[in-house]
Amino acid sequence: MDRNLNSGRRHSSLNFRSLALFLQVLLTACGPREGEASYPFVARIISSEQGVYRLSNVVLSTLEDIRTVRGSVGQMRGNASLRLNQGSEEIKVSSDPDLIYEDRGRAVQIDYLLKGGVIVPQNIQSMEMLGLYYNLERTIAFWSSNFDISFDEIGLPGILYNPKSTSEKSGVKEELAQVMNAAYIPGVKDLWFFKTSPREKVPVKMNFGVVAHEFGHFIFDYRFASFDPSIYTIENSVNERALSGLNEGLADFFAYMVSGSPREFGNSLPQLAEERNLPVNWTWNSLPEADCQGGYYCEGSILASALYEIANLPEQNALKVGRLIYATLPLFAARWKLYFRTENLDYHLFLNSFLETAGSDQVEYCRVLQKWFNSEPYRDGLACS
Amino acid sequence: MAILGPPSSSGIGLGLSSLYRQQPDLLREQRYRIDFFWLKLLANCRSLCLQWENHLGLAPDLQSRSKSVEVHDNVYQLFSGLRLSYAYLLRYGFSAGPLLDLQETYTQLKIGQQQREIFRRWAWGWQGQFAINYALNSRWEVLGFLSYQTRPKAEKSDVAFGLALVLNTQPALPSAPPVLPVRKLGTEARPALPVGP
Repeated sequence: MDRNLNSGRRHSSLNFRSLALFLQVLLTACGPREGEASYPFVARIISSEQGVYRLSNVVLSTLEDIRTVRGSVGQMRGNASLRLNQGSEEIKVSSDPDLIYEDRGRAVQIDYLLKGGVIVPQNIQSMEMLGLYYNLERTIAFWSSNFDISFDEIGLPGILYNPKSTSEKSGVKEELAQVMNAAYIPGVKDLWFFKTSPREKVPVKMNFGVVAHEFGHFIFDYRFASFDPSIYTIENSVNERALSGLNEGLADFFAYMVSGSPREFGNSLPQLAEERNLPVNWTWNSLPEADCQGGYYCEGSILASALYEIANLPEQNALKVGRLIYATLPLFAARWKLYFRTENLDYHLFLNSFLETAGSDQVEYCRVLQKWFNSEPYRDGLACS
Repeated sequence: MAILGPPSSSGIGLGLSSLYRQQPDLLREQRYRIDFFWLKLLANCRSLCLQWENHLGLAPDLQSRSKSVEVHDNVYQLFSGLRLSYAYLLRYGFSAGPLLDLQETYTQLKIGQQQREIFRRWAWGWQGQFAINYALNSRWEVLGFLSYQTRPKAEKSDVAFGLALVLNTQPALPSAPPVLPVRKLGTEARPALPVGP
């Protein structure tokens, strides 16, 4: 009996010794210590160059805090919750965040490792966040360096990563995760990038064209609406459709101007390639037969295609056309405000304002616009002289 | 019902758990983890058991999120802890100890020029676990557990719960009593038959 007890004690002490040794090894062998990433941050992410996606090292020159993806472009926020009970109209025009958000979200926190000083994202979410930041950085840099625009004065939109939606029915709250989309919300000036769907080829939020398109809505909001969301409250459905199509078409053209590629959307959503890659294969007259399901988006694509063709005329380029649009928008806004309550408006008002700004290029521009807007009212109504 | 084994008893187990891993967007993502256990009894277990618990978990990232861009972070975790259990009809108790976490990332681009890269990151942390053992017989036990783990450097915390089947490599129940010495029939003294009046 005694002998057994002694043997048990010896066994236990051996166990404790081996346990202590094991714990020591475990604590000291915690892998290589990561050095601190330093400014400017270089990240290994998937990004687009002229519409070609590849894994490469990119410089995030405005990023200040890599862990929370914060920089002069903005602070990415995760886990935000949108109130779905609000209709799309209320969401579009309300500048009250409490009306739109159940929760405005908090700073995200990415996982990465340092490999030779290069930040390597450790999961798809971190890759998407860095990709989204990089696309926004490039977009904002393009607008800052090529346009007379001060983001210090007008501010920048908020960035919401994978926001959820909550809806309340008979006191019961439901949570929904929207996928495969992105949006700019004028009232609160926020960009929403929804959860990635397996149907997306390149995640929408990593698509340079999509990010530049959404930022294009922010520019439209600035130049056309002067950030006053009430201008989007339109009771006349004809005018609402025209303004929505115009907004989408211009954002598509801005995306082409910034990214340099007219085929960005198809890289993420192949089903959108035919509807949104520029130029589309329908005109105003062939719109009823067009293989396009997007409503006012299909009309906007005609405008974007016309502007794309103008930008590719000899001695023209996308930036030159973009600057003309930028100059046209306040003029168009002033005219829109005069008529939108009393008259049915279409693209005439914008197109003629654009032609007015075009100066000596007006005739050439007009020829292209008439080709795309080839219905009788447009042909006769465009100020081509 | 509780395992009342000698101090040298040990067991191995295989199980499946649901790991809720905290993601960069502050949401917890659910993924399955395959668990391997190795348990060693350190001190006798009549009312309190002290056990050394080692656990290897493999949690592959199987979710498909995008057709052309894949970033899968497979997770391998090694946990070593001490478990103090209270033995009654079931054996239940808490364990705690260090955790070693290896995150292996496969980045693959399947569009145009195909690219594939693999990266690894080690991180350490701590895990606390509540476990219940139910002995099916002297060899087999069912182990249910709920664990909380934290990785301080990454400022992340994960939760997992699962079930495992544990085989005690040395029978835990006391062995049968020793065989009594055999005596030849008829050699022992017979009691005297009662004699009637």
